[in-house]
Amino acid sequence: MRIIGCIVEDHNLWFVLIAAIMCVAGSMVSATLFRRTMAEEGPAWVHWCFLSAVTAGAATWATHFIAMLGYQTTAPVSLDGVLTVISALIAAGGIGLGLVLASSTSARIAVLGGGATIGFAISAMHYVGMFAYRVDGIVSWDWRYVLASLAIAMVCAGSAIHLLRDQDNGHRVWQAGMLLALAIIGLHFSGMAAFSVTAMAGYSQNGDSDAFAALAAAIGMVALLIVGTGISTYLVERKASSDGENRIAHIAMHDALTNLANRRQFTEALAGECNAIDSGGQPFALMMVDLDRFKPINDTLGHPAGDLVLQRIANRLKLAARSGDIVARIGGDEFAIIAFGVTGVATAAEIAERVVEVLSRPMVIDGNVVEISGSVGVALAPDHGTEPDALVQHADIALYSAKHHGKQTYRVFEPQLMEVIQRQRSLEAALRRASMRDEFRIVYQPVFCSAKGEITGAEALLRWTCPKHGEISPTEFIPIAEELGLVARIGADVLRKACKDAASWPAHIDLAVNVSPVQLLDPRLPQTVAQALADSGLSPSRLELEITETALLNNDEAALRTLTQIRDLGVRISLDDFGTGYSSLSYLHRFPISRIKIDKSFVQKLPDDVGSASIVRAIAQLGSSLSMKITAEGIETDSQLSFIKEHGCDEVQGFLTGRPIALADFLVLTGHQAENVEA
Amino acid sequence: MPISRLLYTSSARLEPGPQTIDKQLCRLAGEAALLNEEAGITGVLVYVEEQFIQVLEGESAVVEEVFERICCDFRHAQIKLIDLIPVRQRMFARWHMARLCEGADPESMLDDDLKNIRYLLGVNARAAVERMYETLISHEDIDS
Repeated sequence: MRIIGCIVEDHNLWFVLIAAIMCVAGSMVSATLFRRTMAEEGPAWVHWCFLSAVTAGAATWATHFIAMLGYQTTAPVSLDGVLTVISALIAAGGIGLGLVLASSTSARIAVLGGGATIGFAISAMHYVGMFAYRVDGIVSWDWRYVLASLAIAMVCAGSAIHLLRDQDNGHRVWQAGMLLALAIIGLHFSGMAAFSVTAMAGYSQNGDSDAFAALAAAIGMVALLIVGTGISTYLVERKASSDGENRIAHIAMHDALTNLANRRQFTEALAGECNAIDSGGQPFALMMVDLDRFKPINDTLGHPAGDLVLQRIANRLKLAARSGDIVARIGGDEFAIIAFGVTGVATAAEIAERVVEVLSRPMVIDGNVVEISGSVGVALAPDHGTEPDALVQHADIALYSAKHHGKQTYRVFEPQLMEVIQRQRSLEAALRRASMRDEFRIVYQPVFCSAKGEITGAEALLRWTCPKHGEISPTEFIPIAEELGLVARIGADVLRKACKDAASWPAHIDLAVNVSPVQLLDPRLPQTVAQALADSGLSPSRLELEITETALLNNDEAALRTLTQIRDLGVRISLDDFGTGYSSLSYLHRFPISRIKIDKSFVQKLPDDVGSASIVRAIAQLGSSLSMKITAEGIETDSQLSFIKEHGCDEVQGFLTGRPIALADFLVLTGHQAENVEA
Repeated sequence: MPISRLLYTSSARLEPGPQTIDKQLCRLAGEAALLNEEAGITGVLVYVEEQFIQVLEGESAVVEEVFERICCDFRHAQIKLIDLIPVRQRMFARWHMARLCEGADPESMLDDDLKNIRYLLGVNARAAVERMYETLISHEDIDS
């Protein structure tokens, strides 16, 4: 009761209010700083310890002086400057020491030692401050209140430290702050309750109350400045560290090169969207984007140029997606887009089309023109799945399908694609086995002289019967074999076997073998050819290798070298499927080509299609003027045959004149014919 | 500083709307001219048969940058880079972006000239650029 009486009766309540605000604000700041200090280590801990001690000391000291200004006594008052300064140093130093203890790993030392030291420091500051407070009157102390005030300060400060150490509950800074405030206020007013002054009547007044007020106000101001400095230091530091944390969070979630979302952010966002969709969230589209021709850029222009390409690609993707969509880089040249609120295939297709278009645009890097393109696979949620794994798998299947359909395009997932992919995978496995076990067969399609109708040769064609899927067309399995890197081996086998077979044919019958673009890239091809000829004993002049124009594109220097070496062996080269590709006349001129085979797509439109007819005529004329032989492929009707004969194609091949047949049948056919010729 | 000249074509994907093609083109070329002036880019923009044909001249690095910006612009479609060569001096030094638009001057032979340029582009890109320059000089009065 005496404490409350002391506050109400002996104090000017306005000052008490200001002191209380000062105290609470100061305590909050102090508690925050204490927590920060206790969390720090090393040199930073020393700085924080100093800052906290000075700030908390100043706050306590200021509270004391503002409250003392409000203490109303009839006796004149003066202030001892030295003791006042000492009291401030005690507060800061004592709290500093308390913090050193409070930072201890031992809970007992921290709470009991640290808390008690802080409480004691606050008390010591108060009582030294009271000695500095010179009142001209009879001062009496009630020791019970003094002891009570000490107990309040030490218990409250200890509890505050205990709360601040409690990491599990967010350190409870607010409660700790309130306890600190309670320690200071409780100490002060119980300390003041212990103190009483009786003015001595007639005693001359030697103190100057105005000077005292000015001094006290100045001290209060200084203390406020110190607390203010503490607050702003803390805020600046917190801003800097939260900026740092933001930057670290940004680094953790973004790809350093392109500044797009990284795989981690993508995975989290996808999982988040999938969860949302389960609870009635918006549908969205997942797009997997893969660059079609990125690796050669790193190889030819170097990695810095490759990095620049990726950065520009990232920028283009962001522009192709809509604002708000997530564009992520999830691998070297793999990107993904999560497009929100996509309700149908049409919207998804529109975005995917923009992506394909913007990626197919040219790019200039350091004066080099980079031609790049991208393929996109789209899966829609919830239509194609609501689980992240299923969506990613389906988008990947769509992407795989896009890449197999000529690249630079997009595909939206369909369940049927699964079957296509499964067949593809199963064929891949079967093809690997087949190339180990020699499951391939060679059939021979006879080639006839168009004028005389005699067999002049045969084209060796590869056949494969898959144990699981049955007869597989070469147009389906050759690209797979190319991708698996099996083509060189299969091609060499075919060449060897066909040469061996042909060695037993009548000497006027030539052999034609197809060579894939991948084989042509292999500099060992001439050697393989020479070996096959040597092993079989077939005369080089009876062998003809068929190449396509695509083999000559892009790598024509290497191809020219290889082909020249093969020609020097005495083997002829023919250009297959002529008319469908670039049909550049420069190839005919530059490469050692001795025959052109007109593609069946033209032949089959004969003789009614005017365009095809004139192309066939033009190629035939070209052949005769460049002194190359011309073969027409895919003859199916008599009218086609007569057109061909009329326009001077040397040889013909097709279902009309002879389907591809097994070696034994071919031998019968040639034997037959040989007899006919003899007869 | 090495100077490059870049030539590309694209099909225009201008919005069908109240603004005439010429107005939209004006805006496009106006925007470009402002940016180009800062970047020290000169050249000409031709619009013929719904196609853009543009020549950009300037420091190589800047030309690359401007071309990348164009490649990010969805008002263009089917962008084709026709030619990129180092040059000793600018041919279009006087224009930050001159404009030659089909139908801008029905009285003259402009439309025919532009169609010829387009045809020439497929045969000989460098001759096409020279023809653009000549056309620009002879029709300079229409575009000021």
